[in-house]
Amino acid sequence: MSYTLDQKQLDRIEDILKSELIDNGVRCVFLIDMAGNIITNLDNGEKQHDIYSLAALAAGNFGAVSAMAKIIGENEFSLLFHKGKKENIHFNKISSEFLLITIFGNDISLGFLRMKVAESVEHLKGLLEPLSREHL
Amino acid sequence: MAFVNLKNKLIQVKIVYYGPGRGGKTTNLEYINRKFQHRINSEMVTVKTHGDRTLFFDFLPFDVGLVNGYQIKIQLYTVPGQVKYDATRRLVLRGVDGIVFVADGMLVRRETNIQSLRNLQENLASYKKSLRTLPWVLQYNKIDLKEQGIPMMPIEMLEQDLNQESPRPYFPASALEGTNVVATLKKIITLTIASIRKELL
Amino acid sequence: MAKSSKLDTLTSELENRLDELFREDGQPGEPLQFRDAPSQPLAELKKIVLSIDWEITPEAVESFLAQIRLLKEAYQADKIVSMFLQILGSLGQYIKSNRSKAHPSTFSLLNSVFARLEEITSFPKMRELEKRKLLQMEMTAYQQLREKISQRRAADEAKPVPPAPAKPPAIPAASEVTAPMLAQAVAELKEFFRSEMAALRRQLKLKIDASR
Repeated sequence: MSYTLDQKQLDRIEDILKSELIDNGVRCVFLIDMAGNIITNLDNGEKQHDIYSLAALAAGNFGAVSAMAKIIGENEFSLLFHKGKKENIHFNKISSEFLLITIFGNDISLGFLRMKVAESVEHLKGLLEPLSREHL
Repeated sequence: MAFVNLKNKLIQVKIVYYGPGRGGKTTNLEYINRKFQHRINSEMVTVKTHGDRTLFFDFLPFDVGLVNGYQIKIQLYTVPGQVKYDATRRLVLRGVDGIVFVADGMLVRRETNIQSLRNLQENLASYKKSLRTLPWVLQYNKIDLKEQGIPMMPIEMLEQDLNQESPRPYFPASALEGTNVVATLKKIITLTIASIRKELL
Repeated sequence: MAKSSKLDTLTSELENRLDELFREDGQPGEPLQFRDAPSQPLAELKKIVLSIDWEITPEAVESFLAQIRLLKEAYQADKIVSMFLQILGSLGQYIKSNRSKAHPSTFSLLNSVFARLEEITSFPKMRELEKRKLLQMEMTAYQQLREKISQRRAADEAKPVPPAPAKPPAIPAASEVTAPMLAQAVAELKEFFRSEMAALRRQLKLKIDASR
């Protein structure tokens, strides 16, 4: 069993991520599925991370935190965000199967980032939801 | 759940090494990591306890290269084998495409092997998946211990315990020495890719 | 008899000790009070600014603007503080009008302007010169943000896209601030926002008509 995204879909996704996030100062953004597969990733050209390891850990992290939420009686947490000295990382669920991970510096406020991410997610949902229903 | 990227012509599949604690799952990946450095561009990710036991998972991305015009990237994971990490094992199994069940060949571990396989079936069921439909192989590990006089299970016993229902390929192996580690990996990759082959055509 | 006298000594010693411990000093204790108003005038604004840093909701932005209005009244007599509040108010309006289309630097500027304002209000003994210096720094940053927004607007107008975010208006240098100038700046700001809102309404109407 597998799922597919074609050039047109991926181009559209990348356009959204670039215009909403990268062009607004986000350093790196990647869209992954809950298995840790990378659908697409973009960065501002400054730093290259080991995105495959990041994706595996991000999916694991998100999964672990979601499981913790259920244990304490929450359906899910509305914010998963890790703050570093210079770099920060934010996780956002797009649907039951996809995650949007953003890495950003301190020049962007968390509030602004959350606003932009929420907007991106609205655009992406339409593109990804049919996949979630059909295959997963 | 394998992902096929038609834009970049890339296929990503997830293979999980499952089995009882201290059975040799991490050792398998460590051997693969050492042997195939040229195919592995990154460090192996290990989330371990202070006692060097897998806490969350080990992760190794393995590049098979071009097949039928597609780049095939295998994401190899191991699960923590200790009984208390069941929730974590379930997490790591999410979206799995192929499984290597690493059984511990020592006689004293007979019962733990059986329990671990049962645990695997339960965790797969939580995702509405089953060993009946997923590609998987068995590895009967630690054959090197026989020379040291440690009581080991004969293959027939292991087969009877773990591979009765629609028998799968099995490999007597020594992850420490590397015996059949690659053969196991090759087989599971072949079976896994075969199961999604319609996307390749 | 000896025993009981020992006990007496112990008891009396104890009583003395206890008396000492709980001795009334003759002054009534401070009655418990529940303070209604915050001891710091900017406490409420601070809460809102911190929450906006965390999450930008329409409610938070409205509370921010409402709080600015209140503080403007309270600090009418203080020119420097009024200017700071002016900048904050302008940034708030800009965020309200543009939301996610706002320039990302708006929020770090909001935080730094607030931080300066907090500095000034928590050190009443600060010299006038020092206060003006701080105000000048923030006004310079404010001008820089306007520049960035202009540049972005110019780039956006080069491509056929929906209207670029509204620019917040210019604010004069701190050293030249006089009361009439302040009044004029406020009037200009009001006029600016009125015309921007009207323009937005016209554009929206055009869009709706076009989509029919």
